Amino acid sequence: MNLKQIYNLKNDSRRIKIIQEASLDKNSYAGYKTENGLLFGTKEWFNAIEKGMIPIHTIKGIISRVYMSGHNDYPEFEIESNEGKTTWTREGIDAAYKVGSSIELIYVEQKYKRPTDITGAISKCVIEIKIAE
Amino acid sequence: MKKWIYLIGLMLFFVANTNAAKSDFFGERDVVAAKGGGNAFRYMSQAELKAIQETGYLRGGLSGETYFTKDLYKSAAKAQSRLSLGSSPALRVEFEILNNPTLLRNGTKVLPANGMIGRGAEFMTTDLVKVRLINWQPFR
Repeated sequence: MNLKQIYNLKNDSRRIKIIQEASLDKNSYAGYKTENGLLFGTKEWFNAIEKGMIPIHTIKGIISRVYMSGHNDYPEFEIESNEGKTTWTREGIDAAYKVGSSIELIYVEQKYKRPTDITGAISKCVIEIKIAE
Repeated sequence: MKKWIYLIGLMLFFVANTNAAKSDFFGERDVVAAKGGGNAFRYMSQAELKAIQETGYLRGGLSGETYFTKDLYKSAAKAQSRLSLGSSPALRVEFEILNNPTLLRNGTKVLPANGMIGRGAEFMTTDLVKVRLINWQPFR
């Protein structure tokens, strides 16, 4: 099956910038903890992923739902995999998200600067999404 | 005697209308304005709360229209109905806006859509909305 990359965090300068700013702002609750001197989205951070210092996790499954949440203004989708159903924000090429398509989603775990009881301490930070053509 | 009956009738009319003003067409009114100071609400999923925690912005700073409301709804069904939401929200999140986004809708009445009745009030901007989270409440 041919999977096409439709999102790569490396190319998402908007997301990298906005999370970096939040992470560096000591007065803000938002952002990720900077661990081992690795700031989210920097060259060093991506190198740490490539070298396996920050482990990657992969979910392979089928897109089971594509929908808008929030006030009909937040794009999400659902993956059905062996581990069950999980929901994610749609990133990258929106038109590629179709119910029934095979998908591979790669993420790394990052610690929130300030966790909440609802989202927990760890964020599953998406770095790449591939969808069957 | 007629004068007294007229006066009592007039009083009953005003009492009835005062009570009517406290409730909406469908029954008890559970929409209250946000507390003074401009706090607002968004009804959302866990995925969006995660995006706010990552970025400090509503919708994780995605471009496009960002909606919010000052209406407090105590159930997901009520929020979905009054805000004409396409999917049932998992959370009510209260926040304070830290920047000055230009509002293109400012308390506009929500129209019926997605099979919902609408009638809530919504605010909308295409600017990024930087927020301080005040509290978050999961719906049961």
